[in-house]
Amino acid sequence: MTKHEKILLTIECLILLLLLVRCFRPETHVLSLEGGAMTEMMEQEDGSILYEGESFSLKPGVYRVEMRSNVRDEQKIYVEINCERSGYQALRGNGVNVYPNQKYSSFEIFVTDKIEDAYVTCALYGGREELLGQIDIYRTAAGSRVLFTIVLFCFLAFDILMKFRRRALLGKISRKTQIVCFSLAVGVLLSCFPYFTDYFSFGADTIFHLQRIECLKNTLLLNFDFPVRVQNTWIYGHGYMVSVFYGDLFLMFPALLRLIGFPIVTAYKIFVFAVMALTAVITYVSLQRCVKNEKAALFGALIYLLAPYRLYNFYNRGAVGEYLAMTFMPLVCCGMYLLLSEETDSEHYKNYKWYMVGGMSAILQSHLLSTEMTAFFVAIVCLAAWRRVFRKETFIQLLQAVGLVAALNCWLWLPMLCMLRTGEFMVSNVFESQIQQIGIWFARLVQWVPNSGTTHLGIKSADAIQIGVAATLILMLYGVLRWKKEIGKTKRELLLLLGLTLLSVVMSTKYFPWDMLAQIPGVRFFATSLQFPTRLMAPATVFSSWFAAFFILQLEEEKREQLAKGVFAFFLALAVFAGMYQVNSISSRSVASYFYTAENTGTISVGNGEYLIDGTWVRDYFYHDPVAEDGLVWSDYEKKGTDISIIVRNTTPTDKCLDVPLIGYPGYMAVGESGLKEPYIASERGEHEDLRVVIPAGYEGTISISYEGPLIFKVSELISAVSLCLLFVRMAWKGRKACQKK
Amino acid sequence: MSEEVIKKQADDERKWICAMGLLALLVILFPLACPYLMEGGKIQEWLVRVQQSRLFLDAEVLSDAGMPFSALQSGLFCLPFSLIYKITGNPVLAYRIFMLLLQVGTFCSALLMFRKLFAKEDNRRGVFWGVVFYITNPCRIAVCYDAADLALAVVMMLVPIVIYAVVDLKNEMDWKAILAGALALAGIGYADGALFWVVLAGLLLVCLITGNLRGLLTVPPALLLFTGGIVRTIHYLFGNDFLKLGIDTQPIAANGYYPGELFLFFHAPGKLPGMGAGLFMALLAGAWLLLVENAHEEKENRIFWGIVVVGAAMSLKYFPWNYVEHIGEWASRLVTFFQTPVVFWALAQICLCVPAAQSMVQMGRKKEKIQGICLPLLIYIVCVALTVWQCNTLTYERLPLL
Repeated sequence: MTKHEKILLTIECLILLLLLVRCFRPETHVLSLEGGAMTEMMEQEDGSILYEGESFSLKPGVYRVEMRSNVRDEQKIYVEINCERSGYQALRGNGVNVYPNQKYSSFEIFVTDKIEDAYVTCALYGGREELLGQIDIYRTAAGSRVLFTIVLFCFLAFDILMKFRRRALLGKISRKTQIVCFSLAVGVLLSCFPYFTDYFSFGADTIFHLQRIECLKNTLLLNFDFPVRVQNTWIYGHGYMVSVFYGDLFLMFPALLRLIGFPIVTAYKIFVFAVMALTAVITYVSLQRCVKNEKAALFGALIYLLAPYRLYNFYNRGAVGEYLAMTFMPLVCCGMYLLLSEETDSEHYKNYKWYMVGGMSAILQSHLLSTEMTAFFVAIVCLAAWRRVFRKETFIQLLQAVGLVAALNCWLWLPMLCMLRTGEFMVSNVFESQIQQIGIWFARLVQWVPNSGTTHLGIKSADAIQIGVAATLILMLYGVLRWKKEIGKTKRELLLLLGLTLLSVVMSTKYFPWDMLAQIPGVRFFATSLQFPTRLMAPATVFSSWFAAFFILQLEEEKREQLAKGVFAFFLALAVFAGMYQVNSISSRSVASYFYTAENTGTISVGNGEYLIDGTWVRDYFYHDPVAEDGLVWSDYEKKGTDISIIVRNTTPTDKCLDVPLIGYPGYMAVGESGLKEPYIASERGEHEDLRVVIPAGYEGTISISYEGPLIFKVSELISAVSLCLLFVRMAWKGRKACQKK
Repeated sequence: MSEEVIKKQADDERKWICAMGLLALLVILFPLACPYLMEGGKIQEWLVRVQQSRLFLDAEVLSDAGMPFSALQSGLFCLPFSLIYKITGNPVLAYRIFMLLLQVGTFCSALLMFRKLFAKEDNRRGVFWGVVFYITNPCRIAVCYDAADLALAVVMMLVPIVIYAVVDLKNEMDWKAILAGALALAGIGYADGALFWVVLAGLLLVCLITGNLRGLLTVPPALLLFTGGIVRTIHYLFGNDFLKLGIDTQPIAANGYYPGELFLFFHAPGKLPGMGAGLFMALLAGAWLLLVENAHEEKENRIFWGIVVVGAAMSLKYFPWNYVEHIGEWASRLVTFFQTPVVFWALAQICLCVPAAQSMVQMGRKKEKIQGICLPLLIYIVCVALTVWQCNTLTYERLPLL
């Protein structure tokens, strides 16, 4: 490290230290406002009465607004913090609804510049000021934590860039590597373009995933659960078992950003940027490992990064699970390619399976349906290359990969399977749909201009569900060159990739006989669970970009350098222009939302409600206190997420039931005071499938209810934990052995 | 270079030119991938003619169907597709076959015309450029798909055959050319009777100015073949049939172009179509070659330029159509049947492609790679890319009709 670098590092550490100290400031109380002190302003058009509080000033920072209220049935309050005069977007926050029986609510607002005249407004529906309890505003240390994090990342980015520049100037980083880094960085920035704004545009599923992040953060904060199984604040505090069916591992990152104090949308945008960057790196490294040619790897990576279907998943659909899974699909391709193409006696042969393990694990943690598709195509490849698969060492490595994926991810898939087998969940009904009619028309395959559409059906205003004009034309060019015998005999991998691309594209259309396949027992589940065939565009995108890379490789190996250069330059330019067109189209057509306050979205954006108990609907739920049978008295009720503490007294000679405001998922435990007959969770559920606790006759004391999960959950977590530990031990042992050898 | 090498190079060039030409044709067919008829333009008129399956529709039928301005058009080119519709009951299939034949027919007619024009050396390149410029012309694509003025589209398909016949007859007496020209001219008449007179007038003027009296031999057989149409035209322009349509004579100047719009690079939905970026770039290259590099200009281009200038002038908002109407009531009625002066610019496009192709041939002869290879390649890419964009935007924006 040079002298200048040491000085710079010292200054950076000092600044960070100063900022770190500010992160531990206690909350300061800014304002207390009684409901009775608010002034009635007017009756609004929708019949609500608007109340306004006295004005107050706010310094830059993050504020928590707490509200206590007496809202009853048929009543509602909409609370908002406003200001008269301020700098541009100085107050960033949205209003929040307070629902019937919701005695306590809390939300955040973000102030970026000093505001002199902020004030609280409450719109009351169905009542007057007696609904309002008290509003308290606290200034939190979240702003300091956000500042610290931003400064930390800025310093890290600066240091890395300076280090990179120094190494490049010293000739330690080759020109090719510099070009690769620059190109991938430009590709990432281009693909993130629609989010470089101070507003947000929602995709179809974005709200659902934003709520997943927010509720994950709340569950980590309130209940200290890990792994999270039931996310607590969903559905008016009843909890939602989304984490069992939909891996949350990668959402820990934006949840962590939320814990630090970033607004939900900022956390999400940072997450998207990180995923784009990770996609670029993973795809390039995977391709480079296989083709061993920087130009071909860069070509394939950029075509994949800017693929229309990928960008459509990010911005039009907001399909977090699917685009996360697409990030890791190249790893699986890399693993399969190396295991099948390399010689079994090569030095690092046994290490190749880790690409498969890493890729499949990450896909499983991201999106179940993508796992299904990946497994299907892995099976196809194994069938196509069966001779190679049944080489002894290859077969062993593949089996080991399967075993490792199963063991390391046991904590996710085993509980999921157990819950699915109960048949109690709505998700079983979703799998019954016929999907053929929602495949794409052939016309969509020649819809080369990637417009940001408004529907995935039909052709008019249709989304860009395609592999992209560059990938399509490369396939056509290959066909023409082969037909004219301009290129030599096709390599097997190129042929396989071509076949897989065409197969997955055809499967995504409405011409593939999905409905006929759904009649076949055993195949039905897989044929209908996809929900829509257009998901097959994800593997099609992967295969077509890999095809592009291997095509360049073949041209170079046949010494067709001019043609390789021409194909590289032209199709890359085409991919970049098409990507630019698409992000521009997305940006210009999307609706801008100034969304900052996570609580504004409410708690019921569950989409189709796949993980509710079958027979219930989200609209059945509402905030409510525990409901006790006659003879049962309760008091001191406290609810922290999915943890409930309550004192009950059963004065009757029979057991009585208490229904608590939690969805009755399997796995809740009720613990009473020691020495008394234990209360227990009933097998039947209460109204709208609420959790029912049986209080034994004569019981008097505190009951603690929390979600522990069935025994199988614990076993699966243990298996995964042991597998991970053994893995670390083995890696450490191998590393030590390698060091000793050196 | 040995003869074999030259022959191989020529063969390779021929293959590439064929492939690129076919690619240009392929992208024109993209809207046919739609499994439905797209609404908009005059597609309803085509449907009515297919459903009625008659050569000429009565004034009352035209008025009821909301197509009085199409009185001078016939259903001749719709008859085979009426049959397909009646057999299959599938109007989308009938439309797809019609449009496929129209586009392929336009490709072939343009090929015929440019092969005659570029009969000397560099035949292939001139033919290639002429055909590509014409079939990817935004005006022509807008006529076929956006406006769905299928009568005008048929006219634009047949005009190259007329030009081919006239050019062929300039050099020698050729009965096949006379027949082709006559059939094409008559076909234009049956497609759109109003435009028949425009094309006829243009043909007469061109033949007289260039002294190509043999070219006039196509006229009498054409008139003979188009007798039915002539009678109908007389009834509508001079008789009372016009009144039965329930429309008044109306000026068309307001629907014309502003001068700048003639040079628009592409056709945006709802706007008027321009000449396209590819054609514009080619003409610009031609102007460069002529003015800066003193390249030789073909004398024949002047007549094509003349037609283009006249067509452009007639398509402008400022053209004095009111003076034309003073000639007589029949002239007013004829102008009414034109509906819009945009048709003249559309008809002039084929002539615009000739000097554009010429300039690309000259550019292709340059030894420098940028001028000789890169620029022509760029222009080709621009033509195809804008066509893809236009066709994709059409299918993206249009609602299904059937």
